[in-house]
Amino acid sequence: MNKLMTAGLAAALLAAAGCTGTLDSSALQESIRTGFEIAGNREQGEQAASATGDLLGTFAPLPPEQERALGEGIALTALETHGARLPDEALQRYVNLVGRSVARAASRAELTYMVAVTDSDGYNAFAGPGGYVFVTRGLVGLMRNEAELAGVIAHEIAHLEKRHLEQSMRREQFFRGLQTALRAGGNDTDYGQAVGFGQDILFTRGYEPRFEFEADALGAQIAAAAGYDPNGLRDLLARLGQQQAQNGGWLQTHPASSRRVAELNRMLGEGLGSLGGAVNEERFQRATASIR
Amino acid sequence: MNRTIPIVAATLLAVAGASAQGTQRTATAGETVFVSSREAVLRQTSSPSSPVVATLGQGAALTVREVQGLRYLVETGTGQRGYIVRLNTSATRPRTTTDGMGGLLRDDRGAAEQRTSGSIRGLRPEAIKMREDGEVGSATVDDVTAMQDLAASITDAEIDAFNAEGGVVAP
Repeated sequence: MNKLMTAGLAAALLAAAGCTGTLDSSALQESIRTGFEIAGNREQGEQAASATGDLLGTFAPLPPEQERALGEGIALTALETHGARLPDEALQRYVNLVGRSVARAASRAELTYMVAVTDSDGYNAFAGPGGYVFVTRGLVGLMRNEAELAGVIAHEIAHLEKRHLEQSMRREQFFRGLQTALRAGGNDTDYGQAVGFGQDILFTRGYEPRFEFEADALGAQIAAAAGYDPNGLRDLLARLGQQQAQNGGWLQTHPASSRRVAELNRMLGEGLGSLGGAVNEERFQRATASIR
Repeated sequence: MNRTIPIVAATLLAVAGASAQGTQRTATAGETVFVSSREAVLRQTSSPSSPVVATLGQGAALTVREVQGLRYLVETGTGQRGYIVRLNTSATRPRTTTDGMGGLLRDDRGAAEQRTSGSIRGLRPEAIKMREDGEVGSATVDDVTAMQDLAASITDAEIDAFNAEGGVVAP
């Protein structure tokens, strides 16, 4: 039975189970295992059950060391191909202080977030597993205050909190029949493939829109809980939308800014926007003056 | 077997996943919630400028006494009462990592200890191999190392001072 058929069987079972409203992933996985055992292929059953768990969001997250290793690989290739870290230590310290301040409201206490401004004109920001957050010089240049910077960093932290890259890689791995994409820490070929796969999602194809919307919503909540004005990301996205015709980067790999602004407006209007919070335009302008 | 099936399944799952990640339910009086962020403040009143009654760590259990807009009036296990922003809570106790890197750079560690932490510093063997194989240059390795070193040098006291200077106050 090939990978696609495995996917098909899992999908049929999922579709049936999904009709009941609540998905009991462990029971479903057990049913899949049993079905394959009856058919005489226990190994395929384990594979399908594991993939089903991944699809249902119950996947086992990468162990910390593997997450760190994958993140380092992605950080290295990102800096090598998308702009080096700007050699401005005062600026880098400033963005890290904003990042660490925001991270106090995040939940993954085991991560130490590391932020870097990269030497790229494009408008982009991305995050690698293990706590690596990158913001381009172009995007920082478009920002007007610290709340906007905090909003972008909080959005990236939200991707890491929800392990969106891991989830995306595992789903793709299943449906495309890839065998080794998430075995960082395995052999060199596996590691290289995992890093390349992560890069492809981050820089070429982008996340599924629902992951971006989820990161927007959670990011605004994190920024607000940290003490920053949660309107920051929304304001920056609105400005980015006006640049859409001229630039790539973020705009190529993220859903249309107008949709995101509308979603954020809806959420902010439900009360979050009334929390207030720091904006710090003057401190931001002073700290980022070297790149303007 | 047709390729359509996994695609249909993916769509169904996407819908199911999206609904599962919807807005978190608001707890009612008497229910227990947990601090979900790394830390959260309990305030005397529902105003963000009111005095802080206590600073709570991740996972602290709280009994909801009242819902007031975006905040809960809660009571801690030791009987302290105060207001907490609902965003900082969850219905289930958050998982915390206690092995390996877990707990590093948290409040209970001294600044000097944080500065000497090697936990986030130094590349893993897989990443070093990328340099040895010529996939990335030494300047790029230096960049990632600089990110790690900078992060390790920032203390809680420095973040506190930064927040105080900028008026960044948890609501």
